[in-house]
Amino acid sequence: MNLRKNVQNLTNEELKNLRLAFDKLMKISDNRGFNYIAGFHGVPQFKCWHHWRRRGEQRLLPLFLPWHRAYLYWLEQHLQDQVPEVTLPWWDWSSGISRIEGIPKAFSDKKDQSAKPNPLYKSHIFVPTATPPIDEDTFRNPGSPSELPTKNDVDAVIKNKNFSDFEDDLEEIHDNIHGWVGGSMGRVAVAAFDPIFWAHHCMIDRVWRIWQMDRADLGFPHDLLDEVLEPFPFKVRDVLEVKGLGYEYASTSNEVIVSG
Amino acid sequence: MGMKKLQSDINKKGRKSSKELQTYTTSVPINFDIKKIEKFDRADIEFHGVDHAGVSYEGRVFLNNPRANANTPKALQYGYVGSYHIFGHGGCFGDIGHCDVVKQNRRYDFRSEHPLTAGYKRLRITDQLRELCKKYSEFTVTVVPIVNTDRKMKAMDLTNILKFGKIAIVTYES
Repeated sequence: MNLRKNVQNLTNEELKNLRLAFDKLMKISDNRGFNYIAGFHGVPQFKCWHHWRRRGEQRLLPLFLPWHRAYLYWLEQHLQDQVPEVTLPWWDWSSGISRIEGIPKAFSDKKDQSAKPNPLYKSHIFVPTATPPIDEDTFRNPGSPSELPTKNDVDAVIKNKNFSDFEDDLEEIHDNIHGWVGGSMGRVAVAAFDPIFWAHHCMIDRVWRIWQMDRADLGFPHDLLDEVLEPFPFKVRDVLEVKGLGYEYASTSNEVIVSG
Repeated sequence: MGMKKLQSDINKKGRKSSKELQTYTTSVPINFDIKKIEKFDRADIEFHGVDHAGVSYEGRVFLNNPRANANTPKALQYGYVGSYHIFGHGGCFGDIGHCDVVKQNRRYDFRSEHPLTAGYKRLRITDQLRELCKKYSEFTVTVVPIVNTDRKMKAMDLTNILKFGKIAIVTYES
């Protein structure tokens, strides 16, 4: 069972391995590589689910959470192809330290521990089929850390009793974070090319997991369990239980706040 | 929980294609008849048919403050009742027609709707509305878009960001 951790709690060795795995994946240009997988979300494949949409004549489908859970799983598997012990960390943007330093240093430092370029700081987007073709680095334009959501905001989301309200409120915070990071993250089309996308969505997935823990049926509308999460080999029912995907979230997340 | 829908269709025809969207950069009056409501347990402002093809933005929502702008304090005394956020597509990266939202109307078309199909946002305003109802019986909704601008947005339209199909104030009672 893989254990996903708060990025602030990664050991030096774990952070080194995470960076190594991303670096290796970014150097692969075929369908095993980071550029290809990042392209599922927006350009060029546009498979992501946000808001509620229909498929055919069906009612509105809230596939935002299960689709992104499958997406995280998919990248994590490919990272583990490069460095087997690596798991995706989450960025708790509601934590005290985030509301001081903003984007975690693991992702905001331009250089890694060896003074080499930090692969978690940015990636290179190469999508020659876009109009116009995209051949550029990701970038960020973050807001003030004090504007990030608070723990109370997250707690209020988790207190929602029905899935519809929970999903709406969690997606609202999700949208807020994308806009707060800004730059590439503020554009659906290229957001997944920024490595911080994955730590952000890991936090979203973790909040969903926490909400599910109090619900024996995992809380998803029963009539939508067989919806397909294209392009992944899953239906909704396959991703509801995280342990079935081989991972779990660390139950505690101690953090060290460095006050200025 | 029963529901009272207390207004108000801005565009009763709804959204059929991106070209038919109305653009609001000013305030929208909503006739909210407070006399018909004795009590409510929850109140929301709902934004239907929200366009998300362009930039990401924070929509600051004010009631009865049509002159609100980006510098207006986010406090109830200025009519501020909360914000919603849109994760925008960021413009079109395809060929001509790529971002045109076409309604599927063939019986055996099982593809999902276009990713840019207009979205929905809801803002819970229960306590704020209760407070404002002490002073007002009619409301005007003003949305002020705040954009995290960056160097690559020069080519994008930052003046016509707000596009809705319908705005409603909805109250619930047990």
